[in-house]
Amino acid sequence: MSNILFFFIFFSVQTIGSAVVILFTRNVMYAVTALLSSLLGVAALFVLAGADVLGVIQIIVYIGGVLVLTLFGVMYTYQSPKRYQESIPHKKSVFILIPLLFVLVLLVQALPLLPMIDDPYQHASKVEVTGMLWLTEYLPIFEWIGFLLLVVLIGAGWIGSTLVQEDKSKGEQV
Amino acid sequence: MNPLQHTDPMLLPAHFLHSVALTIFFLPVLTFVILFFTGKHISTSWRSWLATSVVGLMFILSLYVHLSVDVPIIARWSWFSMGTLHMTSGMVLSSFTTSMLVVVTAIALMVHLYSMEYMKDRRNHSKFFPYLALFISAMIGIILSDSLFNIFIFWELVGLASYLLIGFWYQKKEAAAAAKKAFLYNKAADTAFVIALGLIFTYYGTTELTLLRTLISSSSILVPTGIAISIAVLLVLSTFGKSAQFPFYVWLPDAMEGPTPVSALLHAATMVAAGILVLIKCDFLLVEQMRWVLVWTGAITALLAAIQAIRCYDSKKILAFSTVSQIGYMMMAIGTGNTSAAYFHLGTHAFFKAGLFLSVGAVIHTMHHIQQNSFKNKIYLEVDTLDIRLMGGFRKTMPIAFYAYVACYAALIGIPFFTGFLSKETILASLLQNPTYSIPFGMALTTVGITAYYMTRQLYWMFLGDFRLAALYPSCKEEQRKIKENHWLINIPLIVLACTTLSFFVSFHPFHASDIHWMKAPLPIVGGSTSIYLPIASISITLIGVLLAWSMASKEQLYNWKQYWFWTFVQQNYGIEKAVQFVFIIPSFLIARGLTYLDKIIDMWVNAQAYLAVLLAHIVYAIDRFLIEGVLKGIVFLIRIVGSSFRSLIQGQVQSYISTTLIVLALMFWWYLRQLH
Amino acid sequence: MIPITLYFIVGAVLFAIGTTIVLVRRNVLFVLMGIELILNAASINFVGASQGDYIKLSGQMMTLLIIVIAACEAVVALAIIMVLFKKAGSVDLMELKKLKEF
Repeated sequence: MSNILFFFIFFSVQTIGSAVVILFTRNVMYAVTALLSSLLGVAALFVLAGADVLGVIQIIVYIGGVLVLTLFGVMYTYQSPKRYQESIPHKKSVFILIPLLFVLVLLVQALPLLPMIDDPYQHASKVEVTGMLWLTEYLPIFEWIGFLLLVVLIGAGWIGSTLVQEDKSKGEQV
Repeated sequence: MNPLQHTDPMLLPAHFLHSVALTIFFLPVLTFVILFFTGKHISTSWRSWLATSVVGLMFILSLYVHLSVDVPIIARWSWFSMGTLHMTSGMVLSSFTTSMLVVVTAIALMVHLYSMEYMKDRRNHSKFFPYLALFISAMIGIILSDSLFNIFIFWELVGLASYLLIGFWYQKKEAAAAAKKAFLYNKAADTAFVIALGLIFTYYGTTELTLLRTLISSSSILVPTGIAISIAVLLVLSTFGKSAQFPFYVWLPDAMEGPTPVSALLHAATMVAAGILVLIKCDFLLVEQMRWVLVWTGAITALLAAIQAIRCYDSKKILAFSTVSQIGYMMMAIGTGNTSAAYFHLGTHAFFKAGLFLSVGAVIHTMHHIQQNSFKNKIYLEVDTLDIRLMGGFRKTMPIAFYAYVACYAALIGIPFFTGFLSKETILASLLQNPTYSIPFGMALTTVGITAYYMTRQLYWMFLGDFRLAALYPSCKEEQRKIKENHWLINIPLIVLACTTLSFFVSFHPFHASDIHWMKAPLPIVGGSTSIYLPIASISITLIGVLLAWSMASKEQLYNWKQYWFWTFVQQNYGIEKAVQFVFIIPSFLIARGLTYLDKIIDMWVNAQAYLAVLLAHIVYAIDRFLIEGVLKGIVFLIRIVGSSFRSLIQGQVQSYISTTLIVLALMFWWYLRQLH
Repeated sequence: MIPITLYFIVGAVLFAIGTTIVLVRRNVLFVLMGIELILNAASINFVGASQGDYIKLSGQMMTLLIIVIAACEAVVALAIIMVLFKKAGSVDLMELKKLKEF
């Protein structure tokens, strides 16, 4: 077993194990922490696949942005210690079957379709190539992404602002 | 032979006398209607006087009609029409019918006068006189009618009235039973009348008696012999019921449960006389064979009833048996063809039998008063007031009743100078004329002796000796001293009836009845002129009977006498009722029971079919329920499961929607990827 | 070189777990995390599949897009959660049944 495969399995286990922790924990803070671990594992998998840039972006965007936002959400929605922890979920059996169905679909029907790529990891870093592609061939996509982000930011801000306005009007009314 | 077409009788205009006769007929109808519907709203005395005066008026009118009638006059008018069928209704006024009218109204008047006092304090009094009126009216209808159809209607009315009067004190169980018995025996006989009527109408085409008589005497219509005999048999049978002949006579002794005046009327003038009357009217219909039957039946009846009277202790039942036996004489007379003799005996018998009943009734009345008075003194005498064993000694205390009784008694047993002797001699003589009837003649002569025996016995026990009730119940001694003559309303009828039993009332010749002036019709030459030995023989037999009774009566054991099987048999009406039971009733019940079983079997079959149908229905039901409905229910259940499972997904929860979407997505992937293979 | 199948298997498992979280958990924040996991699973697949692609790197580009969209999604979702919490006073999906027809 090569070293790289060992690392792959290690990070895979980290990712999946953390995801399982999210699935089973009732504490939101634990869940956020486990999500952090899981996303880090994914970033490592990216790196192992030769996508170094993506690994970095993954860490920056998720851990720097999404996770902080989630934490903010956790704190915002905090009500009481009692409600801090989620009560027992409902109808587990039915809902667990559905993802299993998907896994089944994938394993039974999709995997045999895959062309086997057996090329070994021979090349050096693709960072340079990535950067070149972004600014040349995929530039329109890049622009669209920026635009999308702008729209999302404005939209989110608008949604948040209506809240503030409602609060204000409520306060005035009172 | 084909039945004849209906012949239209000629209509005849009514004479003035017919309207008088109709008035006589309708007066009691009027009384009946008035008294029946006013009921208890008018007082007892008013009621009695109204009814009695009406009967008195009827008697006077009857006398007038009788005296006015010379030759028979017939009125015939249309009764109703049905298509080509014209029914007529006729009335015949001859010396025969009008004299019977006089007899009936005279007896009725006596009975009414008597009843005014006798029935005064009795229960249910308001119904008594209307029923009597109905009875008399129906009897007059029978007497006057010329149509057998009309006679049948009145015949049934007589039956109804007798039923009502016998069961007059219907609260008494015995009275109700006796009324029922009389009614049923009569109805059984009346069935024969209906059939006879139908046969006559079918084969002769008419029921007008006058017309029938001419048709038969002229032999213009030939009727098969079998039919003629059937008609005769049926007619005779029906009169056997009404006139209480063997074997139908068993109802008559029981009919003594009715009030005593009713018994007098029933025995003397109305009920039992009706049968004889109809037979006399239909005499021309009797064929030769039937005459023989009539003689024999009459003789047997006379003898059997007389024997039954020997050991009887019921004062009224003795008289009832004597009536039966006397009517047997009348039957014999009709059988010999001497209808005049029968009619003569009917007339004389009416008077002396009414007298006997009324005088015995006077004694019973007194007995009843004693019982009532002692009841007022709080002593209840549980005795039968009709029992001759409790009577005695009334000769001194009630001389009028006694002498009236003796007169009628003498007439009944046939002592010379009394009417009964004349009529009985006539019948015996007509029997003697025909040598084939020697045995019936012997029976009739024996009956004369037995009659003398039992009547003397009754006379002895009722009127002579000591008052035995007081001997048995010392508490009655006080009452015994108070016994006196009855009210004049009771005594007058007794005196009148006693007078009518004297022979010069009917014939001035003491030993010969050739000159019956009030009947206005000379009898055929029978009687003394045939044989001088006959009256001597009968008188001597009578005397033997009287003397025997006289000597036996004082020695007779009143209670606990040895019961020979013969007397038990006699007291049970010679087993006639048992025979009826065995011959008719038990077979009927057996047939009924057999039919019940048959019915049950049919029932079982039907039930089995029904059960089978029910079983099939259950099977079909089960199929329907579990197979068809089950399938339907299964489908419904499946749909419901599917529906509810889908419905459970759509509960407004985001996750449910997501899961649904994902399932569909997975399936789509599955399908898509399979396509790729 | 790691076999591409392994990436797919890891991606599938991660996807399954993410889906399960989305479907099973009641807290909206958990659901949000589940969505992130699903998106990551997709990313893993893309990245794994583009291992041998040295010229175009289309898989990596796709993953970049996914990450951006995930970020956008997180922002919008959080805004929605804020509004939701303000309006309903709860982040429990069991209590939010306003999508129901009746």
